[in-house]
Amino acid sequence: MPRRSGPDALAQEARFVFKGTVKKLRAATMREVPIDARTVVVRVDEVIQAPEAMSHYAGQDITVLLPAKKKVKKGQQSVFYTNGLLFGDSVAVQAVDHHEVEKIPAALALASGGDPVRNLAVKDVQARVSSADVIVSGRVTSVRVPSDMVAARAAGVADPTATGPISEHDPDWRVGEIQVDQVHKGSHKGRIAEVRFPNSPDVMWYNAPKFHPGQEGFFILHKSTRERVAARAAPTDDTGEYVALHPADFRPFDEPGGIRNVLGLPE
Amino acid sequence: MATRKTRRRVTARKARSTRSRVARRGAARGAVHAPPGFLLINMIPHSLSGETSQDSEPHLTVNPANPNMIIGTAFSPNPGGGALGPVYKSLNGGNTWIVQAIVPSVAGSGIGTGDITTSFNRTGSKLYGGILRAGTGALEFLRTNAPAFPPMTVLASRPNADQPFTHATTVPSGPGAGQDRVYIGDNDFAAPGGKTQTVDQSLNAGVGPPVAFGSVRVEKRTTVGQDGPQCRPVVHSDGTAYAAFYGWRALTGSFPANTLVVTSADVVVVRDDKWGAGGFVNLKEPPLPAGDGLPGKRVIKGVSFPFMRNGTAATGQQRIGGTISIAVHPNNSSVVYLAWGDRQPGSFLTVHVRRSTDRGVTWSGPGDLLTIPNATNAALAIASTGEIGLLCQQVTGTGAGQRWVTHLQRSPNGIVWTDLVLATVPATTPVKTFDPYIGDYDHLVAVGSKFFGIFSANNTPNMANFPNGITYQRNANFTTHTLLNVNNSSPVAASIDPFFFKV
Amino acid sequence: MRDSRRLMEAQHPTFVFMGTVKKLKKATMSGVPVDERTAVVRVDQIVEAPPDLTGYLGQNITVQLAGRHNVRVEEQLVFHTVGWMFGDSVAVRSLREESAKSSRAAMLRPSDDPVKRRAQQHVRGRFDAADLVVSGRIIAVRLPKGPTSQGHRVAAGIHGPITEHEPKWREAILQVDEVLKGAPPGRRLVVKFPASSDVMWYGAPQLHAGEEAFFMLHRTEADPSEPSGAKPRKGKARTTGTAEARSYRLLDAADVQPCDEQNGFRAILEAASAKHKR
Repeated sequence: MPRRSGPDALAQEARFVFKGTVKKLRAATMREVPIDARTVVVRVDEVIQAPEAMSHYAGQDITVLLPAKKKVKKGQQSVFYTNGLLFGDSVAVQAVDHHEVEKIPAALALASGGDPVRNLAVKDVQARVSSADVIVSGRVTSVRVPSDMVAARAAGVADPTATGPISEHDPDWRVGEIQVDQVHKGSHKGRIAEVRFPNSPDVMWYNAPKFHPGQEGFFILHKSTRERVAARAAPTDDTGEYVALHPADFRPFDEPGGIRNVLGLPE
Repeated sequence: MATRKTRRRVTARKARSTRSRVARRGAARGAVHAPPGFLLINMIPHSLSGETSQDSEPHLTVNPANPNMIIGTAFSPNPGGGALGPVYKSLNGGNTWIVQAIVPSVAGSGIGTGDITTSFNRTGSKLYGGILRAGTGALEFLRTNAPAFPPMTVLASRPNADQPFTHATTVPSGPGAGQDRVYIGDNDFAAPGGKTQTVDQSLNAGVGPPVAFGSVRVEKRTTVGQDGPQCRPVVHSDGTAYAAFYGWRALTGSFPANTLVVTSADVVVVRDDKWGAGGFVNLKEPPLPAGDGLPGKRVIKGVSFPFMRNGTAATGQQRIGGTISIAVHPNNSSVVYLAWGDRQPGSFLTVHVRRSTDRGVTWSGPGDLLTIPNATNAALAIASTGEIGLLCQQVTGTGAGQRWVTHLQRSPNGIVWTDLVLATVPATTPVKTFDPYIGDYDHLVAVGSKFFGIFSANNTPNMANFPNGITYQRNANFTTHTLLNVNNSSPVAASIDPFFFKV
Repeated sequence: MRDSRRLMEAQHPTFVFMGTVKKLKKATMSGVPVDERTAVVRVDQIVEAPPDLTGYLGQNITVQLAGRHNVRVEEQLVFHTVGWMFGDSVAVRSLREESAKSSRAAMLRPSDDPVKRRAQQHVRGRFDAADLVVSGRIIAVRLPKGPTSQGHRVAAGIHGPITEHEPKWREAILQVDEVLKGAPPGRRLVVKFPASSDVMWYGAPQLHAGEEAFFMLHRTEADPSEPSGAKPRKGKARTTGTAEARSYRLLDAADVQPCDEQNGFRAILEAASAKHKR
C-alpha cells in the first residue's frame, strides 16, 4: 500500500511523534543498533503524541532510524513521525518520515504542548471515526446472549461442545441494543442499532468495549460483515448488524473533548 | 531518563549478600543455596521502567550454537505502539535484555500478539515462530534471520486454531543435512472428526517463501468433539520426534459458567522416527486387550482437570486448563520425560512427572518420579549431563497470604530432586487485567549442561520475594518495595513481568 | 422500632463463639454501661464470625448477656451475639447462650473457617426465605420500560425526584435449567435488580448476560421506586407474557451463588432437601 506522506496521514501511521534536534549523525544511543548512514541521535525536545510508555522522553537523546533516502543535518530541528523499535537502556525508533517544524499541520500544532498520551488517544478515535460505517449517539437498552447460542445451549446442556469449539480465546459474543438518538455519520434505519461485542476477558478480547444497559454515549460502529475478526466463533443467526472491537468504539457523553472535537459537535 | 551512571539497579553482588543471608534460612527449610552461576533477572529494560502491562505467558528459545543469544516472548505490547509486536532479546547470555519489535501485529495492539512461541534452528541462523495474530487471531508461522532479527516473515496463515507451540531444529548430517525442520503443535478446530491435535511441520523451512507446511493429525482416537489446546512437539538430533497432548474423551459442566471439567482425558505421547515424515505413527499401543492398537501411547488414561474460562481467587487468578511438557535426553533419544497435570483431592491441579527409557513404549509408575500439588505451567528439560529440570508454578496459602511460588526442580536421576525456589510472590495482587494472569505456560530449555528458563510473576521489588537473588534493569527501590519510572522518582504500580533465569 | 430490631437480631447472630466467663458485672472497655448482665468473657473458640472479629480468639471481650438464665464465673458457654461497641476492646450483645457441652456449634472442628461458616449460614437463611430457587443462565439484561425509569430524560422527560439513591432498576431474563425450590411460572423469568452503586444498594448482585448461577428469587412487592408494567419486548430476547406478569427480584449478594460451588451451595441444597424430607 503506498505510504501517505501528508502530516495528518503520518500522524496516523506513527505512534510516537516528537519535535527533536539532531545531535549526531551515524551514531546511536544503544550498542544493539547497527550504525549506518540512517542512524542518528536526536534529542527529544517535545513529545507531541506518544503511548504512555514513551511519554516521558522529553529531554532525552534517542536513536532514530531514518527511512531510506531521507537525510538530516546536525542541529536540524524537525518533527519526527516514528514507531518504537528497540527498548533497552535507551530507545531506538523507526522513523516513518520527518518534516520541518514549520510544516506540521494545525491540528498537530494545537496538540503540541498538550498531553501526548491524550493526543494519541484522540488520534485513535479519529482513525475509528474515519473507518466507521455509522456513528450514532444513544443509549444501550439491553444486552443479550445471541439467540441461536441460547437455543444451542438449551439443546446441548448435557454437551458442552454443542455451542462450538471450547477455546480459551472464545470471544463469548453478546449483542447490545442501542436506542439511537442521533446519527452523526452514515445512515441507519430505525431507532434501534444492534451491535455485537466480545464479552471475553481473554487476552485476545479484553480491550474491546463491554456494553451494559443504561450506558450512554457515542457508538462508532462498523458493519459486522466487514470486520474479518468478527467472524470468529460468530453466531449464525443473531449476529448483530454492527460490531465493536476497539476500545475507541465507544465514547461516553461525559468525556471531555474527545469525539465531540472529532465530530465538530458543541461541548 | 536517568543515565547509565545514575540509574539504580540491584546487582547480583547485592543480591548475593542478601542471598547468603536468605540461603541460610532457606537451608533450614530444605531449600538450597543458589548454585554458582545462577542468574535471575527481571527482563523489563531500563527505558521501560514505567511500564505496567500484564506481561504474562512467557516463552524462551536459546541459540544452540551461541547460548549468549536468547529470545523471550510474552503478552507484551509494543511500547511504541507500532504495527509490530515485541520480543525480548539478550546477546550476553541473559545478563541484559532489550525489547525489539519484530512480530507481525496490528498498530496500537494492547498485547503485541496473541499466543506466541519461538525457536531457533540448530545452527542459530534463523528464528521461527508460531503465533495467533493480534487482531485476527489467525494461526501464523513466522521466520526471521539471526542475528539481525528484521521483522518476521509470515510463512503461512490460517484461521481457527489455538496455542501454537514451536520447535525448530536443523538436520545435522545425512539425508537432508542442513535443512531446517520446524514443528508447531496446535489445536486445529478445522481438523476433521474432532481430532484436533495437530503438528504442523515443515521439513525444509529455511528456504523460500513459499514454505510448505503439512498438518499431521496426531490424535487418532475418538474425542468429545475436540482435544485440549496443548500439543507439545520435541525433536532429537537423530530425527526422533515426539509430541505429547491431552486427548479429551469426556466433559461435564459449562465453559461460559466457568465450571467445565474434562472428566476423562488421556495423556498421549506420539513418536516419529524420521523427522515427522512418517506421520507420528511409530509409537503404537499393542492390540487388544493390552491396548487398542492405535498410534499414540496413552501414558495415563482417564485423568480429570478443570478447563477454566477465567482464573479465580482459588487458583491465584490464573485460569487452569491442564499442563503438559515433554523432554528428550539430548544424548539418548530413547529416554523421554513427561509432565502433566490433573485434578487430585485437595488440589486444583497436580503436576506429575514420569519417564520412559524405551522410546515411549513403557513408562515409570505406578507412582510418580515427582508430584507437585496446586501447580501448573510445568516445563521439562534435560541437560547434556542427564540432569532433569522441571519448572513449575505453585499456589500456596489462602486469602491475603496466597502466593505464587515458582520452582526449579532438578534431579540427576529422576529420583532425588532438589528444589530451587526462584520466586515467591503475592497471588492476589496486582488484580488481573485479562486472562491468563501469569500465563497458560512458561518454558525451560537446556543447552549443554545449563538450564535456561522464563516465567511471569508479580514484579514488586522485594528481596524476600526472590530468595536466591534477583537483578532488575528497570528502576526499583528495594527498600520501599516500589517500582520507579524512568525519572527514578515517580512510583509505578506493580504488575506482571517476565523473568529469565539460568543455572 | 426497638422491638422490631430485637426481633431481627434474635434471628441473626453474627458472631458465635464458645467462651469462658471470667468476670461478672465488669467490662473490658470504658463506655460500656455495666450492670448485672455485663460480663467479661474469654473467647475460646470462634464458630462463626465476620472477618473483623476473627482476631479475638483467646482475647477477653465484653458480653451483654441475654439475661435468660444465671451465669457463673468460669462457666463455658456458646454465645450467639451481635456486635455492639468497638473501641479499645469489643462489646457484643448476646442473643442467647447455651451450654457448651450440649451445643452443636461446640462440636464443630476448631479448624473450620468461622468466616466461611458464617457466610454459609447466611446463604442457608436466604435459601429458606426465597420463594423460588433455580439454576439457570441470564440470557439478556435490559432497561425496564416505564415512565418512572430515570435516564433518557431528553426523550421521556424527568419523572420523580432526582436522587443519588435512585436504584437504576434493570431487568434480567433468566432461562431456567433446574428448579430447586418452589414452582416457577415458566422457563423464563424476569428478575429485577438495582444496578446502582449507591450506598443504599451496595451489595446487591449485578447480573450480566451470559451469567450462569444458582438464583434465590423473591417475588416483587409493590415499591414506588420500581417501574411498573414492563411488557415483554419483541425481538431476539423473547420472553413469554405469563412469566413476566410475575417478576422476582434480587437484593442480597448471597442470592446469586456461582455454579462452581465455591461456597458449598450444593451442600446447602442437599441439607435443605434432607430437612424437607424429614
